[in-house]
Amino acid sequence: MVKVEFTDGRIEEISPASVKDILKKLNLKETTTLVTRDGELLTHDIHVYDGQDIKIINVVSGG
Amino acid sequence: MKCVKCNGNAVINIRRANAAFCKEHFNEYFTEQTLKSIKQFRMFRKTDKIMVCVSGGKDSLVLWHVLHNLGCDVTGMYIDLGINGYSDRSKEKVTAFADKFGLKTIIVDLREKGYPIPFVARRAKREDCAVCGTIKRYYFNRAAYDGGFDVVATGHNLDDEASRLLANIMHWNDEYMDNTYPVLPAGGKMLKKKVKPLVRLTERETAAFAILNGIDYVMEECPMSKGATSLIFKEALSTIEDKMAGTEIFFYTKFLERVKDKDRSKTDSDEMKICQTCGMESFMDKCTFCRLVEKVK
Repeated sequence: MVKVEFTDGRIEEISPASVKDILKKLNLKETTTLVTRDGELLTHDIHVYDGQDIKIINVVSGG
Repeated sequence: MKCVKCNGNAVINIRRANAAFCKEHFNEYFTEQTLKSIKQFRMFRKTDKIMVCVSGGKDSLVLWHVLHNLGCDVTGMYIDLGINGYSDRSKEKVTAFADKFGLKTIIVDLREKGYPIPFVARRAKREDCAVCGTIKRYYFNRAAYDGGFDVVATGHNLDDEASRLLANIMHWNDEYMDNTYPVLPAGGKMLKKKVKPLVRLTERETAAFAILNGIDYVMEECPMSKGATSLIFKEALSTIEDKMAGTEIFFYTKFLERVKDKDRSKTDSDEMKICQTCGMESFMDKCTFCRLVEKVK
């Protein structure tokens, strides 16, 4: 499984897939998120494998 | 995905530009887009003294970084809003950033002044965000005037401006639409020109620039901004943009084209008075800030 950490500290586990499909499964938009693995930004075509950790950063700020 | 410039591994794809970039070429793209806005809207000259309003968030820190790298004379101005926890963490980000890159900073601490936002809002029985806006505007204007700056730069980005434009259109607030223009002229003799060099770039792009360049910003939202209506309009625009890439920048730039010939040279200097309490220019005998803080004394 892939461990997904969100900006607010929440953690979820999800099946391995491409970044694009992971965002789709989590009902998140490509335009409002960035995804990193080991601190490196990932484009949407990159596949995330079993046992890897990723962070999903919400880029929207209010105010 | 490959970089459209060098065919190396891309770190970000930008659908509205139908492009993907490696780190080096994304930085180049980001700087070019910023420079394009600065030149197109004649925001400032290379020799101007610039004050950038910083919050500890990604947009303002990135703007500060980019202007510094362009060789501009830029000083960061931070206001500690006195929001327990959040203000401490955001100030830490600003000071760490300034130390890391050796940048000049002005810090105003509202707790020291006796005007922390939650306290003023409670005592004045006003909304937190409205109080925050009034107090921040005052100290930004004051610092820019006292410091002899030529121009005030803010980190407003494409998403901020397009969503504000959408909100104004949906409410038919014609009189506020011009506030979404990338340059707001100086007012009277004391209020400095305000510019938004990041208006061609999205929040996602400023966040990516921050991550790629080691800019550590405060990711948490201000606890007082929960439920802000601006987020509803951003959500609506991002839903459209996600389905139809490029719609947002088309919407905003077409607006700019429509209003580009509007005369913005006129200032309100003839109508301005001097606030009897603080000495700053105001439309009334006492400025909005002084009338607000009077209620908490």
